[in-house]
Amino acid sequence: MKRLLRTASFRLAAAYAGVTLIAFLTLFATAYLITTRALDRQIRFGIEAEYQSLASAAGSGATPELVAEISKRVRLPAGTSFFYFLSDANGHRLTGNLNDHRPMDGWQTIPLSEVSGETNLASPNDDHRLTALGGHLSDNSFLLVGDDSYRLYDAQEGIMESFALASGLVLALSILPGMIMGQSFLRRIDSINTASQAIVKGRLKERIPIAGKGDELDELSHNLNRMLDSNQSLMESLRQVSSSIAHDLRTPLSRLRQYLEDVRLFAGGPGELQSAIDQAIAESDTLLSTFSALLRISQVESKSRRSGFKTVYLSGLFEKIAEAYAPVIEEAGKTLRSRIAAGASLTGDEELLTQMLANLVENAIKHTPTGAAIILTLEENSSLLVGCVADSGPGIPEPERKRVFERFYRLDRSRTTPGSGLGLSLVAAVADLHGIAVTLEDNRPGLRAVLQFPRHRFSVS
Amino acid sequence: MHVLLIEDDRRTADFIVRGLKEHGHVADHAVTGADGLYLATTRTYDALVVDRMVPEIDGLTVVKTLRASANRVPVLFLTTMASIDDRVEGLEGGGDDYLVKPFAFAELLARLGALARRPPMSDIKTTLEAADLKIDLLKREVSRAGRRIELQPQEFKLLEYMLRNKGRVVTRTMLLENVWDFHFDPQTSVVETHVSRLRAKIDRGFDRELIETVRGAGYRIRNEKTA
Repeated sequence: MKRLLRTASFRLAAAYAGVTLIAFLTLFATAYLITTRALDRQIRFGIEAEYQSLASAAGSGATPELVAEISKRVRLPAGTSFFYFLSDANGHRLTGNLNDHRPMDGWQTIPLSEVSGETNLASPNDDHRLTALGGHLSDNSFLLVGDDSYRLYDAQEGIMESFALASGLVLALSILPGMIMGQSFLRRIDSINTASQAIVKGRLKERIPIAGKGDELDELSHNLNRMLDSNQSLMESLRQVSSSIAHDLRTPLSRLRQYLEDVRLFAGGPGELQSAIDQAIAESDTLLSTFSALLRISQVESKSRRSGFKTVYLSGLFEKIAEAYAPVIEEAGKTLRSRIAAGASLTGDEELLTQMLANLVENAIKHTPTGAAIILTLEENSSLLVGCVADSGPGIPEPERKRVFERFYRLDRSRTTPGSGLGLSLVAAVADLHGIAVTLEDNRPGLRAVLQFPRHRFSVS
Repeated sequence: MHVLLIEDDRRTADFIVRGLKEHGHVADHAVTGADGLYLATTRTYDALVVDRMVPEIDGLTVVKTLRASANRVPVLFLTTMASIDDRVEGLEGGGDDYLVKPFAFAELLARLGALARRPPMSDIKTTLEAADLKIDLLKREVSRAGRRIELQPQEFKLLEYMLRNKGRVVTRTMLLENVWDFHFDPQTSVVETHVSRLRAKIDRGFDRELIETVRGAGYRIRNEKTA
């Protein structure tokens, strides 16, 4: 219950009820004041008229005619008559249906219980008050005419009662739905909490149930589930990366250790010592370059480089790569053909785009046999900008084409080729940073890496 | 060469100071940025080697402060490999070159050599030469002993860079950064292949080889005086 009272929907309903109540109270106060005043004026008007008629009829004071007239009026049916009191100049009561009364001029309010003498009261009630007008007549006798103001009180009471009823109804109508909404809200929050706790406890596959109402809570649950999905896949790749690092770095480290042990046990002369040390340095350089490749990938993935994006002349970049690698490809007994569209540019990081393209070309060089052809192209197809590095080598079997982008993933036949297994991971990271779609396709024979540059980020001058 | 090293890591500092002394240079060493800034403003150095992460005042601020006071001393920044974005920041902040730790000492020495003797900006030459090799930067022409040699654009750029550093060692990384603008380590022998092609063009048929390989460091264009 205490929790329910703290729910947002209940609080909202309560606040709403409060505001409605204040509006009601204002309305009530106004109605109360206006009604009271009108009734009061009406009562006094009646009393005044009665007093005037008696006083003018009396003419010369408390005459026996006046006494008789008042006595007659007193005998009218209960509830329809006014209250009267007439005393002579010495203050002795002459007639009327009120007990002794101190002669006092003007308007006065008297508790009825103090003054009621005769029993023709409408309803003898202690609370009844008499609104009365008193005044001395010409012979110094005293006449008081009054009326029970119960009608006023009745009206006031009626207003009060209807207000109490209405405000009770308003409160109930505004708070109850709030409580019901709060209750169902709480149930759904509870289900989110239960799922979260299960995930915290390690049941990572757990997901938050969706009620299917398509409301904000469903949207929230859906977004949370998507976040959990991406976290799970991130954790998965993190786990895979750490075990790969451990595995892949063991080999060069053990080789390094072996060189050092070798040189310690068997080094014959300064020459051998020198070459063993050179080998050890080369091995540690390999290790270091693996580390810096890993760091570079994670940095690219953090997307912080986006802030430094500038216009990159893509055609020039392709030309530069073609020119830089042409001799390398030729020396390896392979051929390079390039067809590069002029005038293409892209918003991006030139350094990273250079490395991305270089990695793809180097892959083509490393994984093809002598005599292979490598083709580098950049072209516009119906306003699309597409880059392509194709080779006539053995290609990559279909099921592995996605996996080669994972860190350290290497095809079995490439295990002996030098390389860290990180080149394509960097390509994927750089492509992702720039919104470039990179796919590996069958070149029949060979592999074709296709880079589809985003439309909105390039301009052809 | 009189070098100021601002570096808080004792082992790196010892490694650099010892190496510089062995090669006949004089090195002062400051552990904090504040000490380094004091030394740099009160003495005259040929070059500064500044670690980005030093206590009190960081390396970048030290160099920015020096540049703000119109001190043009050449600066080589050192940084850990963790941050590739640092390079741009460092160069924009007034550094002249950048070296990522860990590095080979030969690399540091070659870069310092290139920095300390960098010609002033006003002294722009339109021709460069070594022994009987001449290149004309405006006409993009190369000749040796009066004979014209045709070079590919990247070969020309490579030769130009080596000639500007005539007599000094240029490392593979320096060539990658300055000739190709490659800020990564290629897995194939881009530099070696281009150098050997360049050699074939400018050294073949001549008695003296102008491009010399310096073992464990890089390449050097022989200066006529050392020949």
